[in-house]
Amino acid sequence: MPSLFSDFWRLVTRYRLYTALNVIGLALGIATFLTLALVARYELGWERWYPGASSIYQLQADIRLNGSTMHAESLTPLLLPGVKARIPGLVAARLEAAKANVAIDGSHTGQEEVVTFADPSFFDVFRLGFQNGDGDTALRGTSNIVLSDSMARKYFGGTSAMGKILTVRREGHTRNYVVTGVLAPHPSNTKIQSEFVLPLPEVAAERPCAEQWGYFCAETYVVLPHPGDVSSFSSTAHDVFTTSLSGQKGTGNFASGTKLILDPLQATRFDREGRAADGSSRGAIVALAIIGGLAVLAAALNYVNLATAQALGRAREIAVRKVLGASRGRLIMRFLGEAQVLAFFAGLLGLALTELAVPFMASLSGWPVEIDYRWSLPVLFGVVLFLGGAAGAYPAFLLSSFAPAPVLAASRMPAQGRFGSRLRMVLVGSQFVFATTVGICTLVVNAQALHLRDISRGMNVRDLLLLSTDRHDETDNRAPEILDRLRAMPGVEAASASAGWLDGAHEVRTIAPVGKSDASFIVTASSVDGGFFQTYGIPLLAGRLPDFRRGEDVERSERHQIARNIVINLTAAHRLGFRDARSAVGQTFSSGNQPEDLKTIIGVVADVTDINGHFAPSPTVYILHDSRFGGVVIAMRTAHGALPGVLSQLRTEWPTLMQGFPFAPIAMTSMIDEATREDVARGKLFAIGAGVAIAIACLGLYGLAAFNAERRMHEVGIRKTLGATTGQIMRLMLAQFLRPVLYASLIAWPLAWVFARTWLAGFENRIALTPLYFVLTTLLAAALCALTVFGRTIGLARAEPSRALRAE
Amino acid sequence: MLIELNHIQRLYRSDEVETTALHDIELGIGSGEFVAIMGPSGCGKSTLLNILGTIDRPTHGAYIFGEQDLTKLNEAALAAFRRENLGYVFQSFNLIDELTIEENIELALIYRNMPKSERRERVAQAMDRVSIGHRARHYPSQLSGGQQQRAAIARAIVGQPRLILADEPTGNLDTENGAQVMDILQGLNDEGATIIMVTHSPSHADLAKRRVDMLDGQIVVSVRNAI
Repeated sequence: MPSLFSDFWRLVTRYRLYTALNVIGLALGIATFLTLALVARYELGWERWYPGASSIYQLQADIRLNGSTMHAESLTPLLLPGVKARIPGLVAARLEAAKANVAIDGSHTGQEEVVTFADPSFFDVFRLGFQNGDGDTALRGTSNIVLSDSMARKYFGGTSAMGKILTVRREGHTRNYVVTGVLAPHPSNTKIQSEFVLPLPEVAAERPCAEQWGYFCAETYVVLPHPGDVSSFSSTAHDVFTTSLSGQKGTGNFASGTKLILDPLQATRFDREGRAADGSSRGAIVALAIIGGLAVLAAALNYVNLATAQALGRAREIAVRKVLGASRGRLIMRFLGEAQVLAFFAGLLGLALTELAVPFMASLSGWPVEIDYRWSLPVLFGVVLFLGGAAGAYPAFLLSSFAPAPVLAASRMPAQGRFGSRLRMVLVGSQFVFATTVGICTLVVNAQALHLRDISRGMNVRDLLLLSTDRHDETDNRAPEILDRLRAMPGVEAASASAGWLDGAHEVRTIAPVGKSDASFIVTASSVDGGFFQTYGIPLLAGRLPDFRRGEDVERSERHQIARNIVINLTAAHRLGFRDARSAVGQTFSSGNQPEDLKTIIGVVADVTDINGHFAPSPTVYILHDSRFGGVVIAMRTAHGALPGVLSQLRTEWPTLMQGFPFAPIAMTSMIDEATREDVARGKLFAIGAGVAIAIACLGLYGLAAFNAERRMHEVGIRKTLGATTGQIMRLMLAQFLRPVLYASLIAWPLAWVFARTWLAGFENRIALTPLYFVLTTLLAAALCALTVFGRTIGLARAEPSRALRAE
Repeated sequence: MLIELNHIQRLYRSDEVETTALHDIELGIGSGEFVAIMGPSGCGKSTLLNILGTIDRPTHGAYIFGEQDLTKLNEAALAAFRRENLGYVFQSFNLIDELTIEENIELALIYRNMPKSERRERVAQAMDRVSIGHRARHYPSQLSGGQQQRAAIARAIVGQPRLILADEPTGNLDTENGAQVMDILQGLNDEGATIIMVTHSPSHADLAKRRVDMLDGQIVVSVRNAI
């Protein structure tokens, strides 16, 4: 072994360039693989770390109503108690997450947080570790609260949180809670919010989720240790659901159209289309994992190529070893050993690069990935063994195959003839297939991310400020007063309060063309005030906007007055069968459940795309509502350039304007940036992957150009003697290397096309897949190739011919 | 006079050692001459030939070819000069392994940007001149040493150069093949070609019209052979 290391060191000092290129290439491949593997592990490991995760299921539902199907991840909170009554000993819990103002012991300056109301059995389902307290008792009292370790530190600093009081205000209800448990730190890849866990309030009015069979707002989790339990649980749950609804008037269709579904918790990260709620997608993760795997493969090809080229320069050494009695097997072992040592050092460098890359990538993408050495080191060990063994095998067998007599007799190094030179070009070409494919995909992914950020969302997103994206039930009654004060501020052009809009809790209804109740479909129903369309800048396409002065335009909750005149969006008009906006105005449609309940379309407005831009606009009806919305989002439009002044005044007036709420106004453009952050981050990750792929390919090319320069020095001497100019020699050299790069494009283009097309199919709003991305990437690859080869061969091309001839 | 070498000196410098390969060479060669340069190994014969072939530059002195001082030309102009005026024959043939015999010979014309049809015609003539036409599509490794050297001569003459430089053209050949190569060179000279040949063989040197003997980087004797 010491001899192996000393021989390796001699090799390093003798072939500095090849060794450096090899180690750097392998290290880049290893670092890319490890980094992307950590990302993939994080993303695919969601929920898997809970003790007994494989036995936890989430109860969900598919609701089929009048021909339309809607998937609901939450269920009515009334279902689980009924099921528990039928299955004694069932471990299950309901969760109702909501935003609330949390303050220390009655303080008025709280902070907005997401709190989770849950059944006391929450910690029986999700067996989280406790720093203080224990899961069996922590939620047994109605005024108990359990904090995560980070929240305990945030609110109580270094002192113990146990026994301290937190005041939680929500929807006009204020309650003090005693901290009875602090959770131990746990991985962040879970959708279960456990920063603040509180018992479900006994008073129904204080609960986020109304106790009605038609309200699907409680996440329901059950523990089913045996696979056989799944079907019996499902049939019991369905039986409870239909039996309970059967006694209620007008719920027949609802009960029969609802199918309860048990999904393993581990499978709930991505929906049926493979998309996660935060914009991540299974396809993107698989793509990143593939890039990581291919990066190692590219590094291995690079090693094979450079090691083979270097091997030819060592032919004389090997011949001498053979003459001195070395057997082929012994030589193979020796060269495999050298490859392993080289891979080992590359592994160390790769790990160091990963250490640098992971925090950089985490800050870039927002993924809180860290290097877990218990996982990373064995993986690294495997990769190093693979690289040393697999990539080292061909050069080892080649090196050991040289027959000593001809090698010692020849004045020039062997080149393995045309086979060898073609093999080297195929290997370089393979690296460029990978680099070009990833390069094209990177351009497409980044262009799509920018497209999502910049597409028209059907409203004027500039100079639009939201006081908060949450529903402000407390401010509901005060909305008219708040709006009056906002409108009075200098620089404010319009202000509006609305509900069922941007808050993620859309009210849905079903509507249908008149007389065609079987063609009903689900729409988003948004309650808006008179200034809504002006404030958001949603253009009216035909007809008129609703008006408070016209009684039939307005819905008044307190008087139980239903609006008869409705504004709809263009998608709803099309779904109702109207050719365009103009032909829909003045026409009627019916409620999906009550065909006799007719509404008149008074206006059609433009479609508004969802904030992250992923999905097609949903059909929407806008209902002019009086001041009681049941939770409002307040927005204001400022004059261009007036935003800083408005913000300054808002800050001054905030304590009396939005009493009890943290100062957190947010611009619509910032919301869009945040919503498209994942897409942009993914684009950057692809860019890093592509950069590494191209770097590895160029390293290989550089090494090969060096080898080639050495090999062809004599030939160049002959050509120059015959009158070739430096330019002609450079063209010859460049053509030799550009050819495999261009051939690589021919393979990479269809591969990238398939990937990019599949990727873009996941977006309703997508860019056109034009040849530009393909041509641009190939030109870039060709330019980099030319630059690399130029740098390495210009010296040779300019050398005196006699010097080149002496190289013989 | 076709060639005049005035006070040519060639020094090689390494980190610690300075070696004088050529020392104050004065030489004139007329058009149509066949000059053989002889001398022991290391006397500077090949260095002199390299300078005559412009693939090496003298450290001092002037090299006049026709009316032109070649030492004043840049690299690109020298490449153009070689293309138009010179043909080379090397001891080790210096054919490019990856090209066929035909392509090797054609190479000298490609750098002149000659039309393909004319190139083909000239290549065919040159191959016929050295009786190598039947091996046109073969690679150098498929030919004997004598055949390779004849191909190298074909490449040297295909451009109809004003000067043919031959560096020990028979050095790697057996007696029979060496005699064949000398016959070809003599024939070319008879047709008017100017030839400068470096050789170790006194008998081959005697076939030239003039013999120049070198020792330690200097010309010691220059005599005309009796015809």
